[in-house]
Amino acid sequence: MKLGITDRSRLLLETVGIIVLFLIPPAIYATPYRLYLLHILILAMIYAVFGQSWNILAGYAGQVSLGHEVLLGTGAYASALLVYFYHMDPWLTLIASAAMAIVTGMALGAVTFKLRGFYFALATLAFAEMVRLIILAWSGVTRGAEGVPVPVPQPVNMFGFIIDFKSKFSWYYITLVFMIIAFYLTYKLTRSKYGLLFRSVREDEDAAASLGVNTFKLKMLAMLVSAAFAGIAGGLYANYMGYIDPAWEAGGVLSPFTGLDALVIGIVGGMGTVIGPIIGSLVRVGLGEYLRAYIGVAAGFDIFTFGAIVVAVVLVLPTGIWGYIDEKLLRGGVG
Amino acid sequence: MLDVSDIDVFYGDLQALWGVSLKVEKGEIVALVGSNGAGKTTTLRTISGLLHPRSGSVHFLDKRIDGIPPHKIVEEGVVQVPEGRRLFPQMTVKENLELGAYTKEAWEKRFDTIEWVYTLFPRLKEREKQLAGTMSGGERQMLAVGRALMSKPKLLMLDEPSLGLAPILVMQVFDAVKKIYEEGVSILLVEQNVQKALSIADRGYVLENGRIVLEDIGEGLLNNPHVKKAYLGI
Repeated sequence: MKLGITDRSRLLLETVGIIVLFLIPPAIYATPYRLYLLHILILAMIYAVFGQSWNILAGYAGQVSLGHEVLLGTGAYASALLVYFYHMDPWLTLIASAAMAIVTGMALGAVTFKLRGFYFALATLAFAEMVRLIILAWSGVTRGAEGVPVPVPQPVNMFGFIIDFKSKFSWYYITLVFMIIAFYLTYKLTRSKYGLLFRSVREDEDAAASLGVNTFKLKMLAMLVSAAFAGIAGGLYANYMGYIDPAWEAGGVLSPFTGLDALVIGIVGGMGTVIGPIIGSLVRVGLGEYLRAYIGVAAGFDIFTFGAIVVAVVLVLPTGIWGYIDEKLLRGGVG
Repeated sequence: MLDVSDIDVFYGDLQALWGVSLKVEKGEIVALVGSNGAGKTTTLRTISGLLHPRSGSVHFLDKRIDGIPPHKIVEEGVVQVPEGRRLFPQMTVKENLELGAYTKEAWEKRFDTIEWVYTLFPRLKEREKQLAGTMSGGERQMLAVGRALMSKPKLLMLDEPSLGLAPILVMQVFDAVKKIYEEGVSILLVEQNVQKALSIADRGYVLENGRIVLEDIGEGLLNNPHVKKAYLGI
């Protein structure tokens, strides 16, 4: 079945989708699992922004980064250290998160964008690990392996709403607003001239260059937007979780497994689609948690099952879950 | 308008061009012919700024362009249609055309320019929403030329536009080249199809082993005994 989709029905769908997202917390208020559910959704939304960050660079501009955790991690560290040492307002530190990730991203781009394909991917992997080791070793500034506790900020009065940072309900709406902004900006960017140019670089960099496209500059632009998103996701993550460290193991903000999460979210959701990363992160965080809760009793079995599901999705739906829906059901109308 | 003067070009230690000089005047079709490996594509790549001459110079409209990056050369008005077409197969015909209008000036006028390209190649309008990769060889070549025209070039360089095309499509491509020429765009045409290229060219150069060995008006080269023997087989 194919549905044609017009701009008006798309707008309607999006509006309904956003309203539903805003109504989830009151809707689940009565369930005994509400805090756990909210926690999953908050993480899923932070990861959706992180996945979108990877998607802009890899899905649209074609630069498949295997070290994307470096942008999330430096963003998280910028915010956490400023809050911990200088007791700065967490809102302000998010700007530092974005700035720090952008600086890191620009450095990464400057040294790796001369490389293509596998070589680029390998270089990002190495770069990210180098940064992790620097943060681990530079304990005078970063507290090294001890990690950084991030104290819960004082409640804030914003336009009459009291934002209590101890409450998961507050965090739900904070992350929701950031996610909507990030996705809206992605939509605008990918529908602009730059979206077209990013895709041309992804398809054939030499052909793009022969048309006069400054491909290095474009890749740096994709990196800049990507880094800003990942940095803010990192800042939100640090303040929400209240603690970050430079551990290599899964779960650390600078862990290579975190970088792989970005790939899983982007690929499973649908590379080069705007909605994909939300679907991907719901799968990654939601399904991951579900499996852990129900079959994680036998150590590692949940991870095994999750891996098998990812492989199955990629085999059956090579353009990802949203890529499939968009192509087959919506005729590429939403993206 | 284009003045290539005595360029030596190397791939590493290997010298590919030896003192190549050629000129394209405004409103001319100039053919650069020669066999495989003679250095035709190398010459175009040097003009496009993808390769840099070790000595000699390239001027366009009295401005020196060797040594400036490729995208700046496009902005000066020199555009190459690369061999093998280099389209974006997963993008639509229209998106491919829009990408040709990358420079700021061209981008603002892209809708008018697309209409102009559609009048030159009506087939492209019919296929507007189709993915470039799903079109026939001839259509893809039309699209590659159309895309190059989107930047409103002053000089269009075509690298083997007839390569791999059936004879009927070769005719179509050469007709299109003539049409573009009639629209006032100067053309530098690189071809292995020596007969066809020289018959539409005002002037031609013959390149052998990285050196220009002959230069004459198109007809003159067609009647040249060496060209006849080496390239036309008569």
